[in-house]
Amino acid sequence: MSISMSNKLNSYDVIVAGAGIGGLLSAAMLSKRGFSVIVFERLSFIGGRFTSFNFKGYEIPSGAIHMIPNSRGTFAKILRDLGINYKKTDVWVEYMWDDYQKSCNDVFGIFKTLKSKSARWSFAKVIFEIMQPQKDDGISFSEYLNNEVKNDELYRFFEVFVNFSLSLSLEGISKKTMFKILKNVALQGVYLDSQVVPIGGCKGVINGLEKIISANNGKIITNADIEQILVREGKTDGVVVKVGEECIEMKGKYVVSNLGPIKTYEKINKNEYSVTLSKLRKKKTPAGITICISASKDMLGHSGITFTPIAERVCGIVQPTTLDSSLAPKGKHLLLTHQILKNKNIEKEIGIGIADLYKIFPDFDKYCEILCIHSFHDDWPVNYLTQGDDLPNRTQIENLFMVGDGNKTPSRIMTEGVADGVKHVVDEIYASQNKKIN
Amino acid sequence: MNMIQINENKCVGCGYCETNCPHFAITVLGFAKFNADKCEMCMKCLSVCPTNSIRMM
Repeated sequence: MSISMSNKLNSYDVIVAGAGIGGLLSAAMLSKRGFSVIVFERLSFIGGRFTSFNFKGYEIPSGAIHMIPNSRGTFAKILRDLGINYKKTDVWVEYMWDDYQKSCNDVFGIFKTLKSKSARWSFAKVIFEIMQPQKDDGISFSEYLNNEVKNDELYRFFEVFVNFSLSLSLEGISKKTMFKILKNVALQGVYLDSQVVPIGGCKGVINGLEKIISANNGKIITNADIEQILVREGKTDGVVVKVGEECIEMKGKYVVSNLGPIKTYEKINKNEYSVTLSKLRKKKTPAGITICISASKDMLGHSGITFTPIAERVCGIVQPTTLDSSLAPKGKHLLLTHQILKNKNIEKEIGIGIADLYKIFPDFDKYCEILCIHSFHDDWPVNYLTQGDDLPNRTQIENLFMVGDGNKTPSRIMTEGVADGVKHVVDEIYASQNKKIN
Repeated sequence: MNMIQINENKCVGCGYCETNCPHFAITVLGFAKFNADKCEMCMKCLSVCPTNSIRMM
């Protein structure tokens, strides 16, 4: 969409900075509720790390792996409300050990994905402990497992889960944060029946959101970089956006930033936030690698997540084409792996990941081919902040909100955390607008 | 002569240039590698790079 706004109304109810999944969800929900919304995206495409590109007939994800956790969660509910279609997976997760493989559909079934009785007992102990009142003893989840649980199988069980869903090592996540996540999962566990694959994958969601935004007179402008978030007396009233060589000031009652916490504070351009910014810059961001594979047959036999403690680096695999065949050419499957980046030597890490594939699928050569391999770290990471370090959606600046994977709701993981944050922001803007009217 | 230059320090290897290049002129393995023979100078790679790692010579 082109922009020629010099003579047009340069004022909107809501300005959304960044067209990632957080920004577009916010824009769709707010425009549907009657707000005038404009979205600015610096790149030439929308969706950020939650879309896909057609490459040799395969919908290669830009980050998220065509799957949304928890069919009963906030994200799935938002999609239902917005009329964006998805399919539910037949299993929740499967665990692939060296000589044992079991899938499950709820938290009780998880016990059976562990092979040994001792690991199952240790798991019961952990579940019991997470339900007790917690004091923060400042240790990592790894230290907790090593000192108090002492079960290698269970350690590996949690390791692949955390590698896959948070792109962290067990040393990288605190006991406190992990207990919150596990408690949240356990409390919902009876209802956790499946993951969700949107029709058309991540891009299906993005296309759906784009339609809703334009149907409600919202605008999405690509190749438009936010230069500055305007803040006066602790309150935002708009942005300066650069389109081509032109800088335009846009007025907005509310600004929703999907730029990530660091870029958001950089764009505010006020000395009083320099301490916040320097603290944020010191934080480590989760890094990972995804291998995209084409297969000439169904390699997994189900549509859920396969965790792979059998492998050295690869922690999980999904095959979204089981539910949506349009994501690959006819008769082919698309498999996506995930692994964390354990050190800076990315090529070596990729090599370990590829070697893993032959262990996971002994007939890999016969049926599979690697399409492409993508890494995410530093300026374009898996998440803008480590789970547990997330900043709240509301900022110190009035009417400025942040959404995205640096602002996930505590204890909500992956895109579920993003969507839950968006819901809070939308509800808050809606409530504050109604208060003004009354 | 390389028409497109990739800054290996900034490139994270996300692969957007590879999957968006209509001429299959880029392969990504940790970072992007560019094949000058196949490049048709369509500039698509520049517009999708999230880390500003691609420059025209």
